[in-house]
Amino acid sequence: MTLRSQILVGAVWVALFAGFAGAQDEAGTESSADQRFQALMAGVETALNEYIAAGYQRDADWNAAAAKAAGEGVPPPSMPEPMEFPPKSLIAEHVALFEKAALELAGDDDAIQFLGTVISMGELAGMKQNVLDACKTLSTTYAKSSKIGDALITLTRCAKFIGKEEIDRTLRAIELANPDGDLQARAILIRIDSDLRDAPVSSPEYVAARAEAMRAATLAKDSKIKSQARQSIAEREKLDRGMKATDIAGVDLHGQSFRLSDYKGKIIVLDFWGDW
Amino acid sequence: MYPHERSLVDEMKNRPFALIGVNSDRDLASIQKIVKKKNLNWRSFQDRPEGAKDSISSVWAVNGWPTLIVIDQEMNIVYRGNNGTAAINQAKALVKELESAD
Repeated sequence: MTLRSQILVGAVWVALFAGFAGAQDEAGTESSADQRFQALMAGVETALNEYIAAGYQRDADWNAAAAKAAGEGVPPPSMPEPMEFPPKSLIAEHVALFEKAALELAGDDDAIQFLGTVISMGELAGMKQNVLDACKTLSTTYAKSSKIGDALITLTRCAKFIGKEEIDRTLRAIELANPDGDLQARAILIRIDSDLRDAPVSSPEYVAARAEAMRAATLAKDSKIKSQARQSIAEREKLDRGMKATDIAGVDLHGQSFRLSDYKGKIIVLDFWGDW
Repeated sequence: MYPHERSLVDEMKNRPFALIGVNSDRDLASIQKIVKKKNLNWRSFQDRPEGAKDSISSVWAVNGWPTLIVIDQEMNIVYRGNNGTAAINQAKALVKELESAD
């Protein structure tokens, strides 16, 4: 990976965490735990920015040395080793700070945001055991909490890292323990998302996921979550073999409007293509 | 793929058949150039024209490209997949059936 692309990844990554912190912000009042969370986040951002700046400096130094060597007609200094990104040990240090805060707040809902960060940052640093431990704590101590919603999304992001089974187990535990129908529905929908989206409509995985989505639709009180559950089913089912094609109203490549149904009565091959 | 599609369209001219594309390219100007240069003779929707809320591919839950969908005269979906030969053979058979029914 070139330094430039490393930095790009770094910037995206910092934005990701900032987004997570932002979501917490909107949730309500600034407790001392929230302030501590913001401070820890700021610490991560500063450390990363310093790391990236050091990388830039190192590159600039090498470029200068290489230019100088070329001017003197001597061989250039050897290229520096590529910088590690993400910098695992640096992240691990910060993960430990979030773990410490979660432990000190144990039993308090405020600990959830710290655990969520242990999961997302722990994944980046390859800290499997730490991520598993945080999942376990979420699914036991905090499964009943009304604040667990944001952590659900974090969980799905590391499904590949710790395995779908582990994530499913955590989500099921939360679904069973949490009294809030909307949270239960969200936990279900997140758990079945990939089967609902990717499995063939006639497969057993899809059929099972479909039944779960219907259950989520009944559990949810929030109309947005309700319709999300129904919609994910409807869209797949009307558009697979044996279903009726929905009409498409769109514009062609010259900007002229037309409809798929303009061709009704003919055999249509609909070709999703791109020039790659 | 292009010559294949082009000759299919030629072969099926004046028969109850239509090849309709859904094109995912973001840069409209460059795709128009390609259509002209390679003489692409079928009509395509823009997958997500400017200002559209959803792309056609997201509504149709298309995750893999290319995806081919064969639709019969009553707008029933009879094939969905990425096997071009299978899709075209099925479409040709249906066209024949439709012609002999007339």
